[in-house]
Amino acid sequence: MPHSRLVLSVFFLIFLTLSGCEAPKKPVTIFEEQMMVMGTIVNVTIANEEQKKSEKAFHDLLTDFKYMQAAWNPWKKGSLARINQLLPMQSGFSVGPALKDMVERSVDLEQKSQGLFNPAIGKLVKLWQFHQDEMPAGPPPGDEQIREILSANPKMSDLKLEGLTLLSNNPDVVLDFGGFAKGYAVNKAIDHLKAIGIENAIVNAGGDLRAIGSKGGAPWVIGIRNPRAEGVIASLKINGDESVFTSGDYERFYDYQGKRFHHILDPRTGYPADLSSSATVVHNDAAVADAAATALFVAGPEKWEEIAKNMGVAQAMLIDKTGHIFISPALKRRISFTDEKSLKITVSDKLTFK
Amino acid sequence: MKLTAPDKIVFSLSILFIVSLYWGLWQASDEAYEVEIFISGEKNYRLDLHENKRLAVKGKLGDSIIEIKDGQARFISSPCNTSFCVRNGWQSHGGDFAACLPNAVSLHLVGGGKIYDAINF
Amino acid sequence: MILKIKPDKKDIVIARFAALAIGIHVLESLLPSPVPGIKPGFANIITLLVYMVYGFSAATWVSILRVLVGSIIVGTFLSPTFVLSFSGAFASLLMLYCCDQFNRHYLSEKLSVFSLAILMSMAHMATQFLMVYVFFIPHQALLDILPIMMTAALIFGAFNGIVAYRVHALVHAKVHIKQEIV
Repeated sequence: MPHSRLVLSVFFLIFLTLSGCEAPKKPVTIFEEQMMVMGTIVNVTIANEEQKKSEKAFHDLLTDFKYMQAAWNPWKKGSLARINQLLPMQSGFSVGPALKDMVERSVDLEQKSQGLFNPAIGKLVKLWQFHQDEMPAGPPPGDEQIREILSANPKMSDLKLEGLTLLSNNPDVVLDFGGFAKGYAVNKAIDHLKAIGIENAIVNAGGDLRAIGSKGGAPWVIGIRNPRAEGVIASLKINGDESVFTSGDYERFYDYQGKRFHHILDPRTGYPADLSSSATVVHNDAAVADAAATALFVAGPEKWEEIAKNMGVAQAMLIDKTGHIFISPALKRRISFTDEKSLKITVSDKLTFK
Repeated sequence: MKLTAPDKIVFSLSILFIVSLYWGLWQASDEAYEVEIFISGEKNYRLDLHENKRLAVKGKLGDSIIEIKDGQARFISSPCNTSFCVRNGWQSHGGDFAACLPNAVSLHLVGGGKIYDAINF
Repeated sequence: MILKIKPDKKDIVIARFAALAIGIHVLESLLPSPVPGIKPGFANIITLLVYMVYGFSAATWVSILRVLVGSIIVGTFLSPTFVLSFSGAFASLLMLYCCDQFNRHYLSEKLSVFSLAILMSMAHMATQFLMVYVFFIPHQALLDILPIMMTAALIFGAFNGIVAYRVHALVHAKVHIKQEIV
């Protein structure tokens, strides 16, 4: 053949080039373990790390979470319980740095959420019996009792923090960091993983998670559960270091005489917020995401955009009681719905900052 | 090259065979196929979802009864006082789970078409 | 006492073709593969050619030698990869035997090397798959890639068959001698 040499040379060149490619020798190693702590199941996923290192990291996190759970229980003996006992005395006392930080951040977040995120209503939470791990059985508290606490109007802004000294101006303030502690704890967990050199991981505390790095180069894929039906309603690829938190009316609840009462209380009415079925927030900071998801859930379809903007949340999604989805453009761009045709989706025109 | 009649038959049958593989295996892979049962965070069982059975799983407070039937799993009863796990009903998709936290028993479904690294809810 | 083993003509022919097959096999192992386990298997072209010219027995020798020596050179001898390779080769030779018998005794119109290559390739892939599932990873996820792997087997088998046919036609035109080594 006249061109045989040319053909052969081309083939040889292609062959040389291809043989320079490194075929992936091993698939990504995934370490996945779970622990029962903080009243829920915490899943830790680590990619591309030696088994021993992952196991040690997991046990470190287990120890940390157990400590945080005990320290931040509003009523049982621990750091937060102590604070709650001293607050009604309305005089200054010292607090540890972790709780000081939580108080500071909560004051800020309460203000930005226009009071919809309010961890100072611990008394109300206890009245509804949502302050413990076990699910209450009902009956719900009476109007009288609720109004009594509401009229005292406990707020984070009732607290003054100077250095490590905390003081309350309102004897009815009881701190319950339910809508914030998970986020805060997840932050601490990821910080610890980063500190020991783990760069690719997901810490998922009962469905609320923060993910860093990737799965061997491919982004972590997060599925968001449908609040009303089985299965995943949307999925999201993680870019770098992000948290995905959802507050829903299906997480902790009880039924009493045919009516459902869930654990996300509206601080304005004293009753479970009933404008939404779920609110999802994507944000770098897990604590902000946690607080914002709670606040947006309470805010409902009319007010969520205003609150999101105030709290610096650009990526959020709210599903109301009819299944109507409200979503910010920044989130709509990157999320993919499982069956978009069957959903009613409204993209916000007010949350246009990035 | 010249293909004889037997050649054509072999080729057609091969194509048919491969198509049936896609059809048979890729549909089935859309369902969850196994359930993992954890006690106090440790994986104790990994069972086929298509082998119907009921089993008693001993947790912190006592026995949780779990039922596996036709690709689904659920808690039938549990020694906790609120039975949140039972109320969650049948779990059928990969990634679904139900848990009895007081008893420290949980079940997680494995498999199913799209695999997510984590589920947010 | 010095034992002298004198290679006869048959040995030399087989050795040469086996060397060729081994060479192709080793070179092919350098190519990247999207899924571990899917290789075009170009060395099979040699097996097919040897079958067409010299018959089943010779083809078997070449194939087995290729798997054994090839794995020694690449460094996978007696490893799980080797077990897979060997069982795949075994199955594909078995398939060749069956087709050969069919062609000789039962069919008036014969199966061409195209069909042989396809059937051998699919038998090879299916057996490797079975070995992995039974002995290494009995995981459901394996079944998910089976259709893809079998499609690849079909395509590569067809390619090998066509190449073997073409090369054979080329050589046959130049060399008019056909030897049947039994």
